[in-house]
Amino acid sequence: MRFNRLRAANFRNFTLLESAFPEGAQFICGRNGQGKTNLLEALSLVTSLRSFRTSEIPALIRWESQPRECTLVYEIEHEQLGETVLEVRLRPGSKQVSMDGNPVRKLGDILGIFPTITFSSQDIQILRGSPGLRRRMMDLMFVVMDPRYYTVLTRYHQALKARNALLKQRGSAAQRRPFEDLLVREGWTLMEMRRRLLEVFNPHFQSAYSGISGVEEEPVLQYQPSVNADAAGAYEDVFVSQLRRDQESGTTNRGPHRDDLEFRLQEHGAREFASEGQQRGLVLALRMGMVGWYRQRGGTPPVILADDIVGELDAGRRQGFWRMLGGESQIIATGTVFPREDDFHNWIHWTMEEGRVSRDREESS
Amino acid sequence: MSSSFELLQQCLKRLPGLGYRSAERLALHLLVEQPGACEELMAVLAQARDSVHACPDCGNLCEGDVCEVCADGSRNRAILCVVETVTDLRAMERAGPYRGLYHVLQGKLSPIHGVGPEQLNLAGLSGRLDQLPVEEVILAVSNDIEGEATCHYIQEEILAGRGLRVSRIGFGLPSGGGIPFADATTLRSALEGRRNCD
Repeated sequence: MRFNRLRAANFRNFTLLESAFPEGAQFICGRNGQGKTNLLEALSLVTSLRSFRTSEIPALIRWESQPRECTLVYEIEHEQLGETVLEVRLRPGSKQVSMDGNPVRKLGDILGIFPTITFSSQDIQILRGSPGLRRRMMDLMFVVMDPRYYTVLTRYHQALKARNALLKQRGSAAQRRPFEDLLVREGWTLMEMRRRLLEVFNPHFQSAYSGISGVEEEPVLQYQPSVNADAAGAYEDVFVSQLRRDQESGTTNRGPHRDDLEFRLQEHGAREFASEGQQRGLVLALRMGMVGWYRQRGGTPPVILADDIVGELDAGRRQGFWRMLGGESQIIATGTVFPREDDFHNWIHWTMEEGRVSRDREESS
Repeated sequence: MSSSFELLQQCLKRLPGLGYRSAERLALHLLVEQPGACEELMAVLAQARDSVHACPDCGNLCEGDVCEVCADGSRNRAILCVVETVTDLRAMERAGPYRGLYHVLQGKLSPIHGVGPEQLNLAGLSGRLDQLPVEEVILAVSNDIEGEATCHYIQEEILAGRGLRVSRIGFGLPSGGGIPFADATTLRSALEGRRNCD
């Protein structure tokens, strides 16, 4: 797919932003704080209606806007759907989407139809930060890789919320049981799906890493489930064994909502043992691996959004990075200097200043 | 503007489905545009409040001792259909083909909203199963986590050991709707709930 045009009203620092994307790779240049990342964030929202920077909708709405609401209108050229206009309206606590003027009733239905992959300099936090960031990353990737994932994930979280409420209310065992049965069933399904999808993804991750770093260092994304079980029965046993602790703390202590993922390099945890450069390489490989997964799947190639990413790489790696992205996807990138080292793509140069984008008159090829 | 007017508007706004603007419009309509309608509404409201109550047997709306469905001698007393709300019951009645009795739960289990078994009309259900010659129970409860948990609870705590036939209504494609218009979750339910062609 490719973006033809974006209009954003009251999104982040934009009162009104209108941006058209002609053929070619787009590079948006500008000093810090001009809204480059906000633009990419707006574009990336089409994929899973979630931001790569925050889980808070209010943060996406421009502060001064009254009523508190922002609108994003995307004109998209899509391989299967043709020219499509997607409108997303965000209010605190609600997301409304319409496709070619028809409201989309279930948001789960459009997840992954408009694929984008975002490379962000903040991605390093996925490796270094809290497990919650890694779970979120897994969920965002997996809803795209398997359409059933979203259903299982939402059902699991609904059952979890209900059970936690019952634990706090000190509800009886008979009251808890129906929710616990659902929680165990969906939790086990979710675990199996995560395990299986990671197996599918790891080869892509590994070949992306060796492509970026140029060496064979055997990186692995290792699933670290909160419940160690290899059968549904064993999973249930662990779940039941936690009951007293759960009752005391008034919350469910074990389950996929406490899962983690470890980046490993040469059989060591990358968080502690990998160098700065290796860590950057691993998170780049995470995104590049997704590009590879899409390529293998065929169908709609994702749009690649690269937010100020190459600044950290040396000239040779930068060139390698652009080349690995290939030519089939639309690329929209930002940075503080134009990518003169890249001779693979035909870049169109834009400058962003105070929330406005303008095309540069003289372009270097 | 008088404060009684504001009070009325605020009171109307508390009703389900009404926002600030609609409440204002209704208040103006009743007080200024059609004062006659206001008199009539007050009379009808008072009458309805005095005569309409929940059926002591099934929980349906009722004006006599029992509701029309429970009073209807031609209905099959061997089948009981469990629904969440009176709205659901009325929708089933409009559809027509069901000729058994109902039981209205007045909600579904929802710990997040503080709805537990005590808040639901479950004691009444046990009592009726003891009295009526019921052979089959149809659970027509919504297709979400809370609905599923409610069905599960009813099966475990109320129906277990009674030797009844228990079923849940099917979830699938709406009539007249083609496959391309169904969302993915509905299609999966439809596939899972498929039937043999006899």
